Amino acid sequence: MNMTPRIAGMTVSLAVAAIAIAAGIIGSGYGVYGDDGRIAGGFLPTAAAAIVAITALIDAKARFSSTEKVESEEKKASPDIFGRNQKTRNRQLILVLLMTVVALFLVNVIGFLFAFALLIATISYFVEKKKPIPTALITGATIFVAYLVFDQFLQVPLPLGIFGG
Amino acid sequence: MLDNLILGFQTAFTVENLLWCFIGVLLGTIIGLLPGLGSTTGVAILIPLTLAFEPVTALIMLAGIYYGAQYGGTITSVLLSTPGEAPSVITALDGYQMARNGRAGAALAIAAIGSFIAAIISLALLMAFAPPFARWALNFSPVENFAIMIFGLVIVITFGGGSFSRGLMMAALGVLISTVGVSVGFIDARFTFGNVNLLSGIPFVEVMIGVFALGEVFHQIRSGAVAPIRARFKDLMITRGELKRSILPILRGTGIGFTLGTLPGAGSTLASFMAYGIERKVSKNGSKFGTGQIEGVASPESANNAAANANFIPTLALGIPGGATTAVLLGAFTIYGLQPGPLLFEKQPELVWGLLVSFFIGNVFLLILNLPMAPVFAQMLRVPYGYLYPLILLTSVIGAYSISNNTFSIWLVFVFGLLGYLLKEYDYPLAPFVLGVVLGPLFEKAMAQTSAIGEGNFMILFDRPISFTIIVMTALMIAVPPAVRKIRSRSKAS
Repeated sequence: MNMTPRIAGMTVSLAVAAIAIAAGIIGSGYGVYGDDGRIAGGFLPTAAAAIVAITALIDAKARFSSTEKVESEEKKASPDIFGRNQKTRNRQLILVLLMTVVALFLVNVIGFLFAFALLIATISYFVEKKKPIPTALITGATIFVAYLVFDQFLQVPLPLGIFGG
Repeated sequence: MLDNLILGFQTAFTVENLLWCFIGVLLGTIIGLLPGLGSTTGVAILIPLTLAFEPVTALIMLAGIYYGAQYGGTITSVLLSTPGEAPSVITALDGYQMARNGRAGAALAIAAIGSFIAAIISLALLMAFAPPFARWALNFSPVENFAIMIFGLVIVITFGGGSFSRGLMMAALGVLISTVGVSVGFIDARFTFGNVNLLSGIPFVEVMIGVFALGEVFHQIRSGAVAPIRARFKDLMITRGELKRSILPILRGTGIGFTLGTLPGAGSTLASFMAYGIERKVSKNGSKFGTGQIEGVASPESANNAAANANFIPTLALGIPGGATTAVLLGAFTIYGLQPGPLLFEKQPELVWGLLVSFFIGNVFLLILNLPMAPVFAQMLRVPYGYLYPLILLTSVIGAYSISNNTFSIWLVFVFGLLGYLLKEYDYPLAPFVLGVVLGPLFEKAMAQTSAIGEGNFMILFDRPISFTIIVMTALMIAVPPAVRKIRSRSKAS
């Protein structure tokens, strides 16, 4: 998160290029042309991967030599209306990502609705610093509405985990 | 046509369809104005809710969300200078300045009136042009279809925002992702790595929900919140002078929007930017644009809505989406077992005409809702994002799960959410990516058929007059914008 946006963007483009090169190599293994000269299953993956790889490298080079967006990045880094600076917001994002991953793992353990109730409550309380009562109210109301709409109305068989019997 | 129109009214004017049309436009307006949600996200998230409906009812509601969100997106543009949708970006220039000058209500009112007029005119044109266009498209072979898809992709790459190479990269990445699994016509399971969940490919709903909904949530968390301006009832009244100044810009915007909206791949964004640019040149207040001129709101907003409706011509008649949201809607059609394209008008007249008539009804609902209710809707901007995004997270993940009933989907949504975040954070254009994902399977099928017809030789594209013309247009689309930029920069330098 300490990389400048320019370098981070360049890194993303280089990573995309690397993935595309790998995809192109794998894709060509499915056969690019058939015996009759017509295209085979690997043609489009190989062609698309080649285009992604080439354009991603062009983009990485363009980003490397670019000086654009310095001003907007400075603006972006300024505190928001809640006084949170960029460092705090970065930390919040990492926390939300980690909590979401944990909730997704918990779906099959404690069930979908309980896992997400936990996610909403932890985000509200620990990340957004809401007080316990609003946290409980938001979590309860949200999960209840989700239960009514998806479980009762749409009859989606949501995973129940250990509560499934 | 009259018979079809009557059939459309009979379909759309049922209590159920009217109700869901109203709910669709209401939800659309709310979705459009809430930070982190837009029409594409809204439609993608709410597709699962419509699975219990008849296809026509489901599509009426989803389309309502689409054009309702166009209205809602304007509210955030004007009051926050934070457009909910790319087409509303340009509205923020003068709309936000009007709001700062105490004319927020007038800006919102003219946006609603302009959008309504544009919608009604463009719908009449859509009804007139779409059926003959679909009949003409019946003559297309896979070769012509392949050429049109290339054309659509190139348009969205050229005008989708960002550089051409970045747009091309995103479109190709979308196509690459669409090749996962077993494709029609080929026997190999590609990029599945032994995972049976990937055999039927990566479902587009998971990709869309991940990229647009979760990606936006992660992006918003990192960007932070901005303070809205309050819209008051007393500011809502638009003056006669403002209305008079807006009539011609609305009509010009409608014409530009409809024309550009009919091109496959050219979305509302291009239309609104071009309408603003032209209005700036022709308006007598053009030199003051950017300081809060009502023409700078009326024209792009009309163009935006006209293009949104015109987008349905390539979507319904050719099966090639006009923009990101119509791409998601195209995917919704396939979920309900419908194949948009020339035959849809012949095989499903009730659905097509019912849907088109519902646009009229939905736009009337929107005008009634938006003129008096805009300040009320604007109060929703005060809902802290901290309360909102856990809700978006839950709705997105549960929505994706409810389509597949498979926990693999929720992981896909998360992975594409991370991808979406990176793409937004580092300014990669999303429209070409979406079009690539949605068009990928159709593109590959048309490509394989063209290869078979040409016995492996793609030069067959140049042997047929229609495909040849389309390829020439595509080449011009690639070559002309940089040439124009070069000429302009030379003339500026000299």
